[in-house]
Amino acid sequence: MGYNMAEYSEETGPGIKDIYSKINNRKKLLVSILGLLCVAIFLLDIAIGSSWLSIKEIVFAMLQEGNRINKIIVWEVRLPMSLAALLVGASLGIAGAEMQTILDNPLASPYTLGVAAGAGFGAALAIVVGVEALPIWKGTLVSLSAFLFALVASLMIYYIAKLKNASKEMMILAGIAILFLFESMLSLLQYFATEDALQEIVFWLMGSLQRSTWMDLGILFFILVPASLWLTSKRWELTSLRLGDERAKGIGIDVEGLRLRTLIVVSLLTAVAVSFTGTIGFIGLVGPHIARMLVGESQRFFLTASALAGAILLLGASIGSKLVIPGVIFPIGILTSLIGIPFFIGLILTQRGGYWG
Amino acid sequence: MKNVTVKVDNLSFGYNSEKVLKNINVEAKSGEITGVIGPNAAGKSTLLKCIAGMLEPDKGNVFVNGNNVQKMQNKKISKIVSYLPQDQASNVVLPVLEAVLLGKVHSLCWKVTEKDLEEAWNILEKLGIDYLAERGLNELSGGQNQMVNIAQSLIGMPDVFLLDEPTSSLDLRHQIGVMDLIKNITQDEGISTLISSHNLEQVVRYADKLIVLNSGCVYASGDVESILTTDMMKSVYGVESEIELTKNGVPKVTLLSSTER
Repeated sequence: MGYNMAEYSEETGPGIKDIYSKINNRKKLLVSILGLLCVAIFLLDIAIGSSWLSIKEIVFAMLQEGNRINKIIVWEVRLPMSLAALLVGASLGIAGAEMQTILDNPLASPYTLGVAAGAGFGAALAIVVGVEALPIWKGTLVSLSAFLFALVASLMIYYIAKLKNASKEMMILAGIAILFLFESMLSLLQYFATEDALQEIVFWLMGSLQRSTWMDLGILFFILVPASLWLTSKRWELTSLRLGDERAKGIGIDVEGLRLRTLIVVSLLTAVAVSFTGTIGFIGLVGPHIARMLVGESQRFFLTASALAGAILLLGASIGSKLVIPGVIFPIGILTSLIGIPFFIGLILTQRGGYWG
Repeated sequence: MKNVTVKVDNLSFGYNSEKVLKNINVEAKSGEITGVIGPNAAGKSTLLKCIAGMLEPDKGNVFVNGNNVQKMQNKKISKIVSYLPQDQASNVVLPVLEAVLLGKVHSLCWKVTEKDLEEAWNILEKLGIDYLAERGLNELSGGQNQMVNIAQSLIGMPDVFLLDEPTSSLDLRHQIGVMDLIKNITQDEGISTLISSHNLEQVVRYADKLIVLNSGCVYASGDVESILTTDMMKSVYGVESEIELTKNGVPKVTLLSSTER
């Protein structure tokens, strides 16, 4: 069978260990490369802007030393944006990876099931109702309302799916229905909104990293960390979901329970990310696919790789958004899709096997 | 050597209002292969799924070693009962080795231990697919995929092994290889194995006992020789047949014609 038995037949112990290390080492290397790339592009994102900083200047400023203006640029402008790109990208990458896993569907993304549509409606509602009333708290109110409605959307999906045995088909159907529901309610709001509010809604929906405050970043961080830890603890169970429901049940996985619990975690991640930055599309779809192409679908590596791929994509888009028109930050939501989609299609065309035929 | 008992007690099951299984009473023993046969929609897969605790019966119980399966947690059931569904091709980008390890998902710790790896290697070698260990499931043929599924089901060395059409996607050599292996493991470990199949020739060759299902009822159950009759073939499958013993004592069924027009 084209295989040299002698290589492993002497002692089975070391043989299998070697194979296992070989499988792992390649993936560990790839994840490390992604990690380094992520750090590099993160620093680059901080460096690039209307005034360019050197890496040395950034490090000095981060350590609260050196030029006062540089410190202000780094701490109040660049760092929050870059961290937002990092955290939101990672959150969307993870959320997309698990959404594709629990729905067993390569088309799924954190936005497939209407969580983002809920957030969009929530934000628009706050903008329409609250613009005049509470100008100082507007940013927080918009985020809060977006978050609440994202949660409402995911709870609706959760309960509908739960009533119907939490099958993936049911979840997708319920999710798409909720998506259309919130989108039509959003259209209704837009129809009645004043011109100013309308403009603001449109801008919110485009997504932007500039909105996030240190407080937002803190919240994002404290959702992302426990969510990733929980998902990591379930990595074998989640991997088995892709074998199909019957197979997973056959090896004793509580498929429905795992799917519902993961849906909650993914929805939370998405809701927080989207409510602070708006609907930045595409990252949650492409990040996991890139990760899958690199390290496969064993969640031991897939999860981390998806997070890193998501972060790299969004950081890259952030750099792009600062370079398109010098001195102006182009809406990042537009850019992620414009650059990302040709790149993604190119990747798909060069791949064989798995989802990509 | 295990001492396993499987007892299906007055079991009924229906999807919506349609009854698929009606008052089923059967048993299966340690170290024996029980063939579950019958025409399409007789309830073979449903019976296996009920024994695996994957379906909640409307009435009746399944006992494995005296424990009621319906009252056990999935995790616990999976340690004693292994169910291999009818095979489906897989496009998962996952190394075969890890897919096999998933068979003992509930006993895996944070780090995969040497013992886990050796168990996986052991079963891969027994099935003769150790050379596939590094490959991705998405790169395998349908038959190879099924071999991996079988390895995955066997790694935990269950008490009860349920197989739904296990060899339908395998070539002749692998059919015999897999069935020989299952027969050996069943006897050596004292597992109770139930196999549903349309492949009468194969079931008859490997099974110790037969359960014949017809429209959700047990038509007959018992030793192969007493069950496999031309009358049974006629009333259950609707075919005229001849049954003779071959040189090595295995009954051989020759189909003559269909009784239904």
